[in-house]
Amino acid sequence: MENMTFEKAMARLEEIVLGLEEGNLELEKTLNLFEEGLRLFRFCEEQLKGAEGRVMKLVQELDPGRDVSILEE
Amino acid sequence: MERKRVLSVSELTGHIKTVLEQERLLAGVWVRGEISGYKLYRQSGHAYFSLKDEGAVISCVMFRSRVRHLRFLPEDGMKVVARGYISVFEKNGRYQLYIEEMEPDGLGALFLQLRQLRDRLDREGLFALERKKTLPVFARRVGVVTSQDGAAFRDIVKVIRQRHPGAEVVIAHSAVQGAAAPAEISAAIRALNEYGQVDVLIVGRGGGSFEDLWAFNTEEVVRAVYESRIPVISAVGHEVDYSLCDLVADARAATPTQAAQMAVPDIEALGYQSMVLKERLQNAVSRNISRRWQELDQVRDRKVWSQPETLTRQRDEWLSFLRDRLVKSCLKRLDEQSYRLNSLARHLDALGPHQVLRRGYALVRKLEAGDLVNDVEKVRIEEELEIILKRGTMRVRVEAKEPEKNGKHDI
Repeated sequence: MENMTFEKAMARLEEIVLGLEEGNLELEKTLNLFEEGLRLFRFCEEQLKGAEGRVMKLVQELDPGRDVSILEE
Repeated sequence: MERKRVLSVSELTGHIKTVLEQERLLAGVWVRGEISGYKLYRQSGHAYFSLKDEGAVISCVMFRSRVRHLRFLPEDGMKVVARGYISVFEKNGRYQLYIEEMEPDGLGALFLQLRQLRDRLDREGLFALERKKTLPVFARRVGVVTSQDGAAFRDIVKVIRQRHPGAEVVIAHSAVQGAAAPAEISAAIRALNEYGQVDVLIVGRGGGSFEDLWAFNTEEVVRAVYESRIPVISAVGHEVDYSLCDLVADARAATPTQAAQMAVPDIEALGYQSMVLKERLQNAVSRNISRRWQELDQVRDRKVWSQPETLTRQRDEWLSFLRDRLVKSCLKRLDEQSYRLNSLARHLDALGPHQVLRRGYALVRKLEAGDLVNDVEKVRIEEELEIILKRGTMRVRVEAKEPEKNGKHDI
């Protein structure tokens, strides 16, 4: 997952989904892709949660009294 | 005899007009004279009059766009210096001076001198736009070169207090009119540059007559402004024309008040603006993140993740299909075998002794070993044998035997 970015991960996820939906891959390959896909999901989620956390932190630094719930629009 | 070409009046007038307009001296001429018969037409806004001296008179026209720039009200008998070009008004066949600028004489000399200085400094590049410095956006210290007793200074301080209470004003006092003014103004500009602790300079005074503003049109002041490392706002109150100080400065304000507005930002407006920007920034970031969540959710909703069994379903189906076929084909094979077995059994039955017995034949068997007897040589007289009929068996004793003759039975 080094050098992986959210965008790259998303692109790869799309690729994997298309491959899996096609459905004529070897079983071994199918399982590997499925596993990779789940890993990418986790990665993307962590990235987003991390980004949200950073934003909240910055917002609070900028404006300590601020209600951070603006992020949940 | 060759006949001379005859011109129409229009052709002749047109030719004269062309000749006059092509004459360089007449294309941009300064002339001194006295106004006579001045008439300003209300509707058109154009002014018509003559300029005269002891020996001659010339018709003059000043169009509305030029009249608007006059800094005095022309009157008959007034001595003036005017700049314009000569052309012909074809409708009445008169040549006229089309005046572009005009000043009262006396001032006229000063006026001419000023124009010449402007042209010279312009050629030198002092007014070039590309060397103008940008004003600071967040000036905290403003240097002011003006009279500390003037209304201009009070206006500047008032506006700066209003807009940016935190900003400081540094005054470098100078006379703004009189003989000492040019030297004092340039010295003040240089002093503030040496001091260096200001972000922007305002150089100027409130309005005044052409003569009052004279100091701001001197080469000395223009060069001092030009050499200033600190951006300069010129605030030489002058409605109509630019002073040379305006031309050389990095920015030009019509009044000291406007100069102060240009020098410092309005803190309140700035605060509001930055708040709005902050909101927009936050919203943009959170929208961005939300959109990505949505993207991720969309991929997650795809069947392969939400119902991963679909990944192997085809294989499952194939597998059960194969299993079914396998079982079916085995059963079929088994059926076939049992059928064959049955038929073989029937066959066997047909070949067996029972059918023969049914027809009245019998089997003879030894008692002890159970061997079937098919030869008299194998039995003794008096031996007991068992005879098997279709129905039941019986025991008999051999009384006599007779060997086979000719290998044939009698049956």
